[in-house]
Amino acid sequence: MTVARTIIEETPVALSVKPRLDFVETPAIRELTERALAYLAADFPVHFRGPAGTGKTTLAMHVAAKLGRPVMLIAGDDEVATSDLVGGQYGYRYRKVVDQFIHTVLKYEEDATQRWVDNRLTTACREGFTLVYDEFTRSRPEANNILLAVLEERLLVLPTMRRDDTYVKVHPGFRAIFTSNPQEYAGVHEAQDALSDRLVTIDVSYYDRETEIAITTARSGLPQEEATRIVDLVRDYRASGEYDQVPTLRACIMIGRVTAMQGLKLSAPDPRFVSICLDILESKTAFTSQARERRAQQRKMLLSLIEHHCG
Amino acid sequence: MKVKSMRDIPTIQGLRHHSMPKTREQVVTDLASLEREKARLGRELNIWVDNQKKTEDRLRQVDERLALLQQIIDPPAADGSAKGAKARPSRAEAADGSKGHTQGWREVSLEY
Repeated sequence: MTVARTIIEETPVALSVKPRLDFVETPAIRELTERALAYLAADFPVHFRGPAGTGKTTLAMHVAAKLGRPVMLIAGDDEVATSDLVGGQYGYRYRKVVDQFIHTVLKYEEDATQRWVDNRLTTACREGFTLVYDEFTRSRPEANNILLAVLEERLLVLPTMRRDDTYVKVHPGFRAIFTSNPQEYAGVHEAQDALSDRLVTIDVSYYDRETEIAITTARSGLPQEEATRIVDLVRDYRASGEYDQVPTLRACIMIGRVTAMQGLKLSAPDPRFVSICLDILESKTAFTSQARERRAQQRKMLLSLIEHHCG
Repeated sequence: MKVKSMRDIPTIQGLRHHSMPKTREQVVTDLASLEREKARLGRELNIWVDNQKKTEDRLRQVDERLALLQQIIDPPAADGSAKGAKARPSRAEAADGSKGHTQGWREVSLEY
C-alpha cells in the first residue's frame, strides 16, 4: 500500500515569558501582582484597565510569568475576527492511496479534505496556557463573543462545520489576562457587558514616585539621584494638567536613556538636555494653529520646571 | 467381527476413554487401526521436524543477511561503539509529526 499525503507543519508557538534583568518589582507592583494571582488562582480572569503608560502589558506578562505556564499573546485589533482567535479551515489536505495488497487487484483512493488549523485561543484552551489578550477592546465586540462560554462554562464552542472536536473542554490550567485602556478613543470599541461582567477588573493608575524612580533608574542607566530629578520633573508636569496627552513613565525612561547614552549632564543650562526634554514633553500638547499661544505658555512652564529640577 | 450394531464400531471417544474391547476380534481390529495411526503420526512428525529445521536454517540466513546490510547502512564507529544504534522511527512515525515530540508546541522566549 502506498500512502502519499502532504504533512504541513502545524506546531503552535507559545511564549515563554520571563522578567528582564533590570525588571523592578516594587511593593506597589508586588501588591498588584498578588491581587491578580489571587483572582486567577480562584479561576477568574483578570482585566488590567488603565491609561496608556501605566505598565498594563508588562504587568500582565509579569503575572503570566508567575503562573509558570506558556503564554499565548493576542493583540486586540479591529481586524481580529473569531477565526483569528479560534482558528479556521485553511487549505486542503490531499490524500492518495494506492492499494495493491493482492497483486491482481488495484485499489485506488483519492480525496481532499479541508484542513482545520487551531489558532491561539484554541491552543491555549486545549493545552492549558495562559492567554494574554492585550488591548482587547481594540477588537470588535462580536469577535470576542467566543470568550463568553470559555470564561464561564469552560467550553470552547468551535464552528459546526468542523466534524470532530466541535466542543473543546477548556484545560484546567487555562487562565486569561486582559488589558485595556478606557481613556483611549482611537481605534477602540466598547466591551460588551457580558464579557466585562466575567472579568475581575483591576484599575492600574500611574505608579507611585518610588516605583517610577526605580523603573526609570533600571531602564535608563542613570544614577538614582538623576533619575529622581527626571521623575520629579515629569510628575510635576503631569500634576500641572497643562497638556493634551498625559506624560507617562515612558517619558521619564526616554529622557533618562537618551541623556545617559549621550553622556549629558542633567543641567538646565545645557541646551542639548533642554532640547531632549522639550522634544519628549512638548509632544504631549496638541499642535494646532489656534493653540499657538497656549503652546508658548506650556513651553515657558516646561522650561521653568526644568530650571527648577535640573538647575 | 461381524458388526451387528453401532455399538460394535470403535469410536474415537471410546478409544480415548480406554474402553476395553470385549472380544478378540475387536482387539485385533483396534491393534491394526492403532498401528496404522501410529505410523501416520510418525510420518507427520518427521515432516514437522523437517519443516522446523528448514525454517530455522532460513531464519538464521535472514539474520546473517540483516546484520550484513545493517553494517553497510550503519557502520560501527572506530572505538567499537555502535554508532546510530538507536531505533529509527518507522515511516508512519516519521509521517506523524506529533509522535516523538515531548510537547505539542514550540516555545519562543520573551523578556518583558
